[in-house]
Amino acid sequence: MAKQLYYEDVEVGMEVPTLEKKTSSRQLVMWAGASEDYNEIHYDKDFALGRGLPGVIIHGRLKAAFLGQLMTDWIGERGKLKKLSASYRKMDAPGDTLVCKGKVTKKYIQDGEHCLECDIWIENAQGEKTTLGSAVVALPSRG
Amino acid sequence: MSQAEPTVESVRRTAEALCLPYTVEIERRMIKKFAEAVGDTNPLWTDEEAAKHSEYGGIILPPTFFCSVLMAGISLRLDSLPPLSSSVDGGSDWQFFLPVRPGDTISVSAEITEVKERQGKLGRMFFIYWRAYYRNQRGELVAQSDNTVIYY
Repeated sequence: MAKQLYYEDVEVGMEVPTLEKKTSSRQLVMWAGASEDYNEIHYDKDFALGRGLPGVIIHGRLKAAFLGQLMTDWIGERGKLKKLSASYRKMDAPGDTLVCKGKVTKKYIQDGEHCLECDIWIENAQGEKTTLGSAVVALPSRG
Repeated sequence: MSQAEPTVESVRRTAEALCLPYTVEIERRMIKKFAEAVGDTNPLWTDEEAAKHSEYGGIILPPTFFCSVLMAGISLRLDSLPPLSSSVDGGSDWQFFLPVRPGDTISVSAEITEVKERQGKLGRMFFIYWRAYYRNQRGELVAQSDNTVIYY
């Protein structure tokens, strides 16, 4: 188990440690099976082209799961992911390396919980933000 | 004329008819396959021995599992909404309230919250906003999601 992060360790503006994901067509098939999302645009190139897409594309919700992992890897066993938002702005293709990043935007105590709000996003190899999101987490306190 | 032109009202009616409730029994193997697909090796969802020492006393469902099977039952039905041919997932906001353990049964219910029509690059587009509620076998609300799907 990774080192536990505490509320007192974090300041607004701090970056969330980057998570890199090297995607593959195998991963998309595994995700299709695991998530029961069998839409052909994610594994059938001809079908995807027929729908006007540039080719097979990565499932938006797999990208959301990457962003969730970005946060749960960071907050440790005692941290809790309370909210996760993802908006799919650009398409990504299997084989792309996606870099998940985040930044702390707010820090507050609410109903006895020590919370952080973060902007989170995914960048492709060109540095374009293909997925935008936000997260709210609760952390343990040393106090 | 085979089919009438879709309107906000007709799209809403068609989508509402597809929001049928369903239940999912959470099994260990599902969690394993999910974590492998994402490449997420967090011990809280992959290592029973390590997770035993956590506050949960064992493996829990990763919160991101709500991006997965628990939405697919409805989102797949909403993939195609005749006479609209193509759809794309716009995004979701998830809220997680309570942990879920293997052996729990999650009941999913959904509602259409809004339908909008817009003129886009590809012509007429419809935005459907839908909300899903996820309850465990004790009737507790464990998570909620607000989702957007775009038809063109």
